[in-house]
Amino acid sequence: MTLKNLNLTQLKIQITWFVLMTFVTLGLFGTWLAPYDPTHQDLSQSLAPPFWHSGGSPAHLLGTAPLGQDILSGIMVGAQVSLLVSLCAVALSGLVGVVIGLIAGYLGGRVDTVCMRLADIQLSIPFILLAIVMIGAMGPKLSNVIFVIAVTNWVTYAKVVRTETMRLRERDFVKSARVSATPIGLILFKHILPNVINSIIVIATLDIGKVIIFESGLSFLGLSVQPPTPSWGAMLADGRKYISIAYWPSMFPGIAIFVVVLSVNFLGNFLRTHWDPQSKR
Amino acid sequence: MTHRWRYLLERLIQAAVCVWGVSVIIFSITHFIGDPVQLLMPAEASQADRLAYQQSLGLDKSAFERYIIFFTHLMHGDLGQSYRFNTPVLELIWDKFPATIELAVAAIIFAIIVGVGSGILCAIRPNTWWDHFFEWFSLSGMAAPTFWVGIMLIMLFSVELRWLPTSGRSGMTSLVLPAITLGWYSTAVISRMTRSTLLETLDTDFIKTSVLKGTPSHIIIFKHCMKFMLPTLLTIISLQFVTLLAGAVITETIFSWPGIGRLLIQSAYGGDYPVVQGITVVCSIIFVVIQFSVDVAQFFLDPRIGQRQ
Repeated sequence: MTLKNLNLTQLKIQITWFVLMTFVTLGLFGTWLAPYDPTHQDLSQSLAPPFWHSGGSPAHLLGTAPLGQDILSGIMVGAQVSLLVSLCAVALSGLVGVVIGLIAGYLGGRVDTVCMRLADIQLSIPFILLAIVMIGAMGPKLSNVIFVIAVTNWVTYAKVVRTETMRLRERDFVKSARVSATPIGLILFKHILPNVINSIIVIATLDIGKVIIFESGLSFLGLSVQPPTPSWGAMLADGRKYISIAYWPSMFPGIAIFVVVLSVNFLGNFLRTHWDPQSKR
Repeated sequence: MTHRWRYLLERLIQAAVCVWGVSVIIFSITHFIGDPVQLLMPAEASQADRLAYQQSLGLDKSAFERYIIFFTHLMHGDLGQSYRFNTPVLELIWDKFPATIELAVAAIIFAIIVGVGSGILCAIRPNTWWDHFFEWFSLSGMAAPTFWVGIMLIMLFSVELRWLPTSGRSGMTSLVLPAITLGWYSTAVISRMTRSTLLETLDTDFIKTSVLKGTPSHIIIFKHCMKFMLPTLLTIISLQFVTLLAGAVITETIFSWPGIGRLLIQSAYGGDYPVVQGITVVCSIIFVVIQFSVDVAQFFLDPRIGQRQ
């Protein structure tokens, strides 16, 4: 690797960290950092353009939404929903998937077959349809959205953990633990889990990006958190009706999603190559 | 040989198990998570109607018996009645299906041409500027949400340039933007996958031998490599096609495309739950069928499949 390449990679990592830190900070403190209350409507300021346009003012840096809400504040506060849903859903689906994968891979036989058939069934219902059916039955609430995404997302974890567990099961340190009558829970969580945790973290990282897109898709369709709580998908859906006169209400929330997801994916890919030098890209 | 046919039979059983599992999941959502009478009856239904409906669903019976009723109806193609349109759900789906298929096929053709094309270009000249360009292009394709891409395309090509219509389904021009929007993500995935598979293939001994024997490179790429890569590409493309059918929900909403995705969303808004439930069941079954067909195709394409050690 040449010096120039090294610097470029480091620069990419630094930008990635910066974006993700900003995202997390906004997710946690966005409500207090935002210059305006993003739900505050001011019809005299309806669809004010961003500051670099003629007629735009530094009061609303990224312009305003159709009902005069400040877009920058909306994006800052909207990070909260994305952060909350992605972290909770990934943690929940990861937990379920890892436990199923460990058990299926370690026990094998009939338990394994049942778990893998379950995964096949899960995969045969497309996520967005399952989400719409479940949210139709349960109602569009934040906790329901997290639940739906978690329920539909465990399969990747289960499959990867299962394959690795099957490989580890035959290794000597696991075998010796087994013959010395170590309880199965201890074998799974103390001997096998530490060896698969890197793969899990990589999948989880890449999954966060996926979940952010899922959630914004659901809120775009009006099936996630309900207004007035600002979310990036809902802001986009709002602005969509006005694209013939104003681009900013639908462009900037999209850029926010795009930049965050791109950074999360970079981080995931970086972790993967970092921990597994053999993996190509 | 017997081993191989057993493999196919196993696949068939697996597909059947999937269809059955889907019916159990959908039944559980409607009957345990939600309240079936409230979900499946219109809000303004009278008390007498509700009671009658309760009888027909067999809500006084055990959960198992109720499931049997649900499953028998399903197997007879009876997915219930839409209360917004007052027609059988299956008929409604059948009506809207061609539009969705048209969109999905156009999108996958776009994704195959651009994805496979750029993937090959990148693999034969790795680490050139266009390899880096397509790498960025694919990474952005995977990070940009479909609905945002769609809105940006409308803004550029319909509002600013006025080249293409913003929505609706009228002729070829109205198909272009929805197809690109829907195929965007798949293009990125197919491009990356083609690149890495082709790079791996170029590294195999039989290709290296061909190169050393002086076979022209276009014959190596399009004849030898493609034949070797076909099963892998087929799997990726079929998986993407399945994703496209589901992704059509959002794309159809943006472009007011009169397919099942839009029907699904409108039914979800209108509280027409039988339609929502029906579309999900039908789509899932189609998925299982497509996946099984791909397995069968693979089976005939690749003689190694199904031969156990």
